[in-house]
Amino acid sequence: MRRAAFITVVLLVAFASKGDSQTFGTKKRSPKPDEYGTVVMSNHAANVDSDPVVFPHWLHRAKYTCRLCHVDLGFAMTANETGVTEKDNLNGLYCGACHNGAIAFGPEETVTDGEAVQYCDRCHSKGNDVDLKYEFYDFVKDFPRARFGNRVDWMKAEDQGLIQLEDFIEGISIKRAQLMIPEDRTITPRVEGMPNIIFSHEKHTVWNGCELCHPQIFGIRKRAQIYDMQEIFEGKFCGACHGQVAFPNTDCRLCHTDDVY
Amino acid sequence: MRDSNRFSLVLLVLSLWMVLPGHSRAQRDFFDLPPLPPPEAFGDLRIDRVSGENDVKPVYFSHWTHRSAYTCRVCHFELGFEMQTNLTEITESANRKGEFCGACHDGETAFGHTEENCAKCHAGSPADRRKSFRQFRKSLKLPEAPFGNRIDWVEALESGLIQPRNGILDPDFEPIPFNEEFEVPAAWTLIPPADFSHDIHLQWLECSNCHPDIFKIKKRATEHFLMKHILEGKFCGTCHMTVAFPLDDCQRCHPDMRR
Repeated sequence: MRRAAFITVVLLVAFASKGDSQTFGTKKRSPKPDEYGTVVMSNHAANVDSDPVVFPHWLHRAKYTCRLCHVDLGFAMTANETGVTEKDNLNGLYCGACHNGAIAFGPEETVTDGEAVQYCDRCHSKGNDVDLKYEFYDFVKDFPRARFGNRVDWMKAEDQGLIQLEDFIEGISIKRAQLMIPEDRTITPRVEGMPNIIFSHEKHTVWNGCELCHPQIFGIRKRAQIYDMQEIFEGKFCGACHGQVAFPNTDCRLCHTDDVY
Repeated sequence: MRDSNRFSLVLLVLSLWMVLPGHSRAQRDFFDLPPLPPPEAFGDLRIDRVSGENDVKPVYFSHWTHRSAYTCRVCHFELGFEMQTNLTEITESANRKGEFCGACHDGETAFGHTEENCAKCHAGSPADRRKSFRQFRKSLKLPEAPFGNRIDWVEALESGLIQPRNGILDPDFEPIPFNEEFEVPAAWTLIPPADFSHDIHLQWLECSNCHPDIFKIKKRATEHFLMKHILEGKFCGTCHMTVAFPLDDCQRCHPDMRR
């Protein structure tokens, strides 16, 4: 009897003191258009005397395909997972494949009077007020608008030729004949009432080729993987890009486009 | 019965009394519910992110005047208003560019950003809307509710007494006809479950207003979903504390609960 009462009281106290002012159950702030897709990398920067790198996807994706960096250059799909070092870059790997002073600015440049200018802080810019060459709102002002993410309809911008995506780097990429693009696929959600998803391989391959998604994120065989929307929200499957860099999962109807419920 | 056993029994009964429904203490005393403003002021927000810093009087925003003409979706999905006061970076220049308030307050749909109109929003003190509220309720014969604005907004919408627009950027917008209803079992024994209707919520909101930040999309996957946290303004409390009918109305969600 006494034990039962004791346990009840203990449980009540434990229950009452559980939980604190965490962020669960609250609506998060949406990133501003210029913040969306911006990745902060600090894996090595934390151990050396330089500030973390602030990487803007918006600027790079306006010039290069996703595939070029995430397949040819081997960038991982999670921030800090690649483990880029200064040495790697100087050897022409990762960022250094372009940021070598030839394709894009290098770590150091010699200006006309023979003086060397260092550009470290252009990338290692976290917490610093750096004068960058491109300003987001100015850069995107003529691009077709979208409602979320960068508020840029990147797909349409590419389609209309407003941006031309480079998919090849000399000495790293290999030119091959393009494979046949598979047909659109209808994906039926398990939840009754949710409209079908019409998945377009064509729209995705422009940016990603095949290799970015297959076989690691998605198996090749149809219905080989069963996944749900919660996993997508948590950054898996479509969520590897959508929600981080590609348009976010805010407007259901961007993917759940079918009229048939 | 030995003395110690009698003591334990009293302790057990006392503990159970605390968690069982229908005890003599009023709900307001048991749950630390915030005091309710008068019906015409329920849902009013004081917005002062940078106004004060810039020597401008803070804005007093009234939800009821807006929700009778627009659903929550218009502002909190299409126009990008956050769900917490002072989190949205509303600026005068953004408004003038047609964002946020400026999407409607442009001089055409609603009064615009002219000098003589500043004080209409930047009032600096809560406006006395008793008269206009009474008139609004009376003229539309709006159904009554026991708490909040004392208006049953759901009933008002369903009966067509109010016809708020559900989209301004996307005039052809139709909500996804997702009618799933379910019972949410209460965490406490003997508390009857809550009834949840997606259909009723989708008449006002977009899926992403709640998913996945507030509620995970997978059933029973949302952690810490307890009344205690709802009362802190989390989960249902995001809206049902300050704007949608308040938590004083236990029976509205837990229909089998005793008054």
